[in-house]
Amino acid sequence: MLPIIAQIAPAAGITGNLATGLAVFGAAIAVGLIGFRTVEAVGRNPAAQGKILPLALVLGAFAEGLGILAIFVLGKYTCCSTPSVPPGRVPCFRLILNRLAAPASFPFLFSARILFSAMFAILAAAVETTATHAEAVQASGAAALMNRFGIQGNYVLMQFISFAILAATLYWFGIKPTLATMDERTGKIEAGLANEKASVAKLAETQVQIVAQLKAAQVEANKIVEEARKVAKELADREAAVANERAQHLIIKAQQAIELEHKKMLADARTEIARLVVVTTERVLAKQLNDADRAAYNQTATRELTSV
Amino acid sequence: MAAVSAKIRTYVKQLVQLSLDNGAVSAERVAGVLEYLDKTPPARPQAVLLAYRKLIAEEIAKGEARIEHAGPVTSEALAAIAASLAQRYGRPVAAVATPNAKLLAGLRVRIGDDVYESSVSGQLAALAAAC
Repeated sequence: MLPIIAQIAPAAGITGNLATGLAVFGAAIAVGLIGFRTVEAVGRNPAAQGKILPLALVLGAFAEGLGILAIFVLGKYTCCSTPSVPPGRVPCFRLILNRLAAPASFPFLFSARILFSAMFAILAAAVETTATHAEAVQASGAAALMNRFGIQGNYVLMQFISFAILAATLYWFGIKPTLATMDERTGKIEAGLANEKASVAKLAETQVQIVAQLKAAQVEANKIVEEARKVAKELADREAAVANERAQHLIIKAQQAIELEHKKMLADARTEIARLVVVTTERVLAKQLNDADRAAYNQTATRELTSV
Repeated sequence: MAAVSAKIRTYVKQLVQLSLDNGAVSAERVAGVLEYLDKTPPARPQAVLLAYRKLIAEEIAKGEARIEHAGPVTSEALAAIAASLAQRYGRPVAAVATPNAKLLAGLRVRIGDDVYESSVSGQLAALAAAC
């Protein structure tokens, strides 16, 4: 496969740096994944948007910066305004300086790019001396292809190392806390949903209990009302009976009083009649009796007195 | 007499017994008792004399029968009533007739504290009291 590509590439005018392409490809994949996960996280928890988006931008800058570094360090430099730079080979130090001065840089990625540029410069300087040795190797087929596309082992190794460092750093300081936060958030959401289900169930159960208690209270209230009515009726009947008894007693007493009064009235009438009879008799006798009658009565009285 | 002591009452009764003659109050005997009391006055002479007078009046009243009558009454009737009362009380009784038209008819004899009713008004009063 590689010999075929080595023969086709010059004819097709395909040039470039495979290492740079792979690095940029990785950076693009990283940025894409970061964007995908960011959108997913914001969609799941819009309230945490303020924390998710800055972190996503930082991580995207890191990934993008690495790709851009790869472009300017490993690949053919075609978009930078440095015509004095020979094609196929870009000094690391000049690349770094040009890149730092590039007006197209994103301002908020400036600090991250400085950090990775410094790291990459140190690593590049360490393997600088091996670059000339690698160019001198004229191998057949694959080696020529690799040399044509600028794939040099030392630089690829350096890229892998720097990528590993970057990945480890991103993972340790960015991805891992983010994943932990997302997991925690997911757990809280799931716990909340579970609690919500449990709360809904408990609410339904509580409502059922409330309805049952209301029914029981209604029944009890009806019983109490009925009992109160019964007691009131009994009390009213009892009071009515007592009142009737008192009334009967009063009636009896009144009748007795009336009878006594009647008797007294009759006695008074009888006495008055007797008195009147006596007075009348006295008056009549005082007028009717003569001395002869009186003398006869006196003799009768004398006989009575002497015979006692 | 309620305030008079029992001693005075007993003493006066003895004086009254001394003043009777055959059950009747004798004037001479009463004079003698009074003379005695005058000579030997008791401890409480006024109380004794008042008690003595009261008892003597009762004795005199016992010896006199007041016969109230309405209409004419014969002396024989009066004498018969007096004799009957003397026999009953065991002492001589003098009858004193007193007319009383309120009796309408009949007699009412009063001797001491005893009253014998046999008059029309008395019977009518008894009838009225019974009614």
